[in-house]
Amino acid sequence: MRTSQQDPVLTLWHDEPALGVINMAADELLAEEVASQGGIAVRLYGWSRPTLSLGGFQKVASAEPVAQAAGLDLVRRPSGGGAILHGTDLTYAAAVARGHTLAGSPQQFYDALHATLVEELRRSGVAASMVPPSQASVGGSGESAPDGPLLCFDRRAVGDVVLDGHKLMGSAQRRLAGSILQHGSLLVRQCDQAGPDHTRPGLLELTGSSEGDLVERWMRRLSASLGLRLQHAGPFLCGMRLERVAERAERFSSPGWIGRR
Amino acid sequence: MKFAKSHEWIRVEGEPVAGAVATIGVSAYAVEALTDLVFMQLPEVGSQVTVGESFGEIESVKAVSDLYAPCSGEVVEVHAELPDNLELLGQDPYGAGWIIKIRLADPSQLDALMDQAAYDKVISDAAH
Repeated sequence: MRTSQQDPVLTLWHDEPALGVINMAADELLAEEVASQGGIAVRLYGWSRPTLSLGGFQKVASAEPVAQAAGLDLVRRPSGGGAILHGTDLTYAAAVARGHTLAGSPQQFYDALHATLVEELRRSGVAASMVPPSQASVGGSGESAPDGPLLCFDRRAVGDVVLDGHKLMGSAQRRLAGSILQHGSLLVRQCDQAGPDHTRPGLLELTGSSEGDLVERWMRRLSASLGLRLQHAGPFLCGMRLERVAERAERFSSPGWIGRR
Repeated sequence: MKFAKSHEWIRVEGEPVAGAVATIGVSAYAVEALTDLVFMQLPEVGSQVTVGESFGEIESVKAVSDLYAPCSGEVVEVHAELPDNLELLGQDPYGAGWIIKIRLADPSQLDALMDQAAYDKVISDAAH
């Protein structure tokens, strides 16, 4: 049987911006493909409309007023964590097959993505760091994740990427039978769409420069740290997948999924 | 007690025959790996669970995890106090931290599960 640890490739997919429900359906399919084929894959993508994505267990009632007032689409992710305001962020979905050493505990896969981003930022002279346990606001004796602050970027979990006290990137997972799906959001520049109460500075405001080729360097560093060859695979959303993703998107857009809590 | 690869355990009360009641929970290893459990969603009494399919979800600070049924059957009892006392999963995962009880539909499904020694080996291999 083929195992992920024998596969030397980190597959990198890069998609054009799409609707939230399409992105969620694509990420679920990505996780299923990794579960059956092994290895590690990352999908980078954007959002064709400003969107508020809820964590898997967050209450929809807390997010609907924000989304409606700001004219945002509202989707619910399969992954946990807090709500993300998408539009000026860079979103990734990473999947690793069960059985890989990175799938052992949530923190391992989380740290693999976050530590390499921090290293690449620091190489560029940006003094980013990861939140230590002593400064976390969720987990341990802190707030519960579903009922904590609405926005992910108002929470501090162990390992979150921060700069000057501001959160730059957070991630959360869905642990499936055959793979782990991890969502993450890097705030590239501040998003004003939801008003001042929900505006947080991004990389551009904090450093004076946008991401440039940061993502490419981050992915290279990630693959090197894992001993994998980085394989650029083009768009994930193409060919036969389009129909499968469209079918799954119906479930992600259903009231039963969005209003499940 | 038997274990699934997805870290759920099942214990049959009495003889493992069709209609026997079996208790289901998650292993100490799985609870420890997840850390900081914060929310749990359980099935309704009377619902059907299917082997290998999700019967509930548990959320930790960083992850939502599906709970997979090690065997098929009808849910006859749910540990309703557990979502408000998630610490029981860590304190006593094979006792007070039980999750649901089902009426076994097909006891032969138990044969596909691991005994304690086999499960311990899986855990040990995963750690190395």
